[in-house]
Amino acid sequence: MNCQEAQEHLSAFFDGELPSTVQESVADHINGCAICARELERFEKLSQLASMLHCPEPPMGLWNELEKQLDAAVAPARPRGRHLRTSIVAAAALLLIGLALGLYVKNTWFGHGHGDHLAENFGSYLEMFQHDPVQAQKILIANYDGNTTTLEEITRRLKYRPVVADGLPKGYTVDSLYLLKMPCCICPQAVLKGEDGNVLAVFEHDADQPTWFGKRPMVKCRCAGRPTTIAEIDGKLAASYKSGSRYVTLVGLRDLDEATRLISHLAARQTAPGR
Amino acid sequence: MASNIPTAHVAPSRQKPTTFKWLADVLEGCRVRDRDAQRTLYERYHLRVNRLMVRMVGEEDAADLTQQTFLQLFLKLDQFAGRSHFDTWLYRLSFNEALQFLRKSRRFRYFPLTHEPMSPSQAHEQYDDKELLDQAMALLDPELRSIFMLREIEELTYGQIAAALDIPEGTVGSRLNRARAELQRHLIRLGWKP
Repeated sequence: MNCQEAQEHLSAFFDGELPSTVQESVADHINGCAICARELERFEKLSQLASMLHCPEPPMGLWNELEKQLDAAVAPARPRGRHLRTSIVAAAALLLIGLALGLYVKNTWFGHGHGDHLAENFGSYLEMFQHDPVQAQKILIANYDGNTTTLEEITRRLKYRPVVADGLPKGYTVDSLYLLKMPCCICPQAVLKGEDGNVLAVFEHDADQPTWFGKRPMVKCRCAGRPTTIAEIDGKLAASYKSGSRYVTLVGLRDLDEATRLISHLAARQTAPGR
Repeated sequence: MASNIPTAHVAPSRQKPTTFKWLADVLEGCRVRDRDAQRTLYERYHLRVNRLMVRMVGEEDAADLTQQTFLQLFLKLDQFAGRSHFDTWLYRLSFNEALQFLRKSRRFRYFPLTHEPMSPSQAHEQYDDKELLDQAMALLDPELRSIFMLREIEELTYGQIAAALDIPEGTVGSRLNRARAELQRHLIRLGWKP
C-alpha cells in the first residue's frame, strides 16, 4: 500500500471502520511511513481536542417556551385514559367530519377533480414561495390569469376594500397587488415585505379553502382570538382565518408570533364600514 | 512490540442506553400529543440537539433552533415510520433545520462570540486549543462540520452517520478525511501547533 492509498483510508482506519485485512495493510504502511504516522497523530490530537469541547447548555425555560408553542400549534388529541379530553376530541372529530361532509355535499367551489388540480398548483406555489417568492408569483399569475392592480381598482371591482387597505403593522409594506381569477372567486392578493426582508402573500377569498394546503399537516388554533387554520410548509407557516364574510390566507409567515401579530392587526380593521 | 503498532481509535459511547420498549412507549405517547411523553422525550434528547445546534449555527441561535427542531419533531412524528433508528431520524431532522436556517439567513458559517479576526500568533496567545477548534469548526463547510461532529462529538459509527445524513456509507470516510484535513489547515492558520 502506498501513501495515497493509505491516506484515502486514514479516517476509516483511525475510526476502526475498515475490514480487518485493509486495517492491517494500513497499519503496516503507517509503521514504515513517518508522513502518514504524523497525519494519524494529528487525527488523534484533533479527536482529543474535540472531546474536551465545552458546550453551553440551553437556557432554562426552553421547555416552557416550547410548551407554549405546542399549546398554540397543536390541538389536544386522544390522550389515553383522560375521559374529558377524549370527549372534547371526539366532539371536535365529529365537527370536522360534519364540516367535511358539508363541504363535500355543498361542493360549491369547483367541479370534480378541480380541487386536486388546484391543490397541486397551489401546493407548488406554497413550496416555491418559501424559497423564491418572485418566481412563485410569476407562476401563480400565469396559472390564474393574474393582473397587477391598485387598491382603488379592487374596491371598485369587488365592492369591498381589501384587508391590507387600512394599514399594516409597523415594519411591513405592500410591495404589489394582484387580482387573480381563482376557481372560487376573483381573489385580491397583496405581496408584503417585512423590514427584515421576509416576503408574505395575503389572499382574500369568498369561502374557506382547505384544499389550498393539500395534505399537509394542519392545526386549528386561535390567533388573536380568531379560529385559524395553520399549515407548516417547508419551515414556514401559512394561516387562514375568517374575516367578515370572507377568508384571509397568509403565506410565508416565519412563525406563530408573526401570524398572531399580522392577524391581530388586520382583523382589528375588519369591522370598518364598507368591509 | 505491540505498542508500536498503530491502533484504531474506537471511542466508547457516552450516551445512556435507551431501551426499545421505553422509546416505543414514549413515542406512542408523543404521537397522541401526550404532554408528559413530549416532556420526557425532550428531557432525553434536548442537550444533544442543542449541542449540535451550538456547533452548527452558533450559540446565539442554538436555543431557537433547538426549540424549532422539537416543535417540528412533535408535528412530524407521524412521518417517522420506524425504518431507521429514532436517534438517526432526530439527527437528520436537526441537521435539516440547521441547514435550512443557514440557507435562509444566507450564512454558511457562524463565528463563535469570542472570534475576532487577528493574526495566528495573537490568536494562539489569546485562545486555548479548544477555542481555536471551535473557531476552526465554524469555518468548515456545514456538511463537513456535521460529519466531524457526528463522529467526534456524538461518536456515531459510519453506518449511523450515513443514515443520519442520508449519504452512502462509503462516502463517510472520504468526507471525514476532508473534514479533518480542512480543520487542521484552519487550526494551523489560527496558530495551532500540533
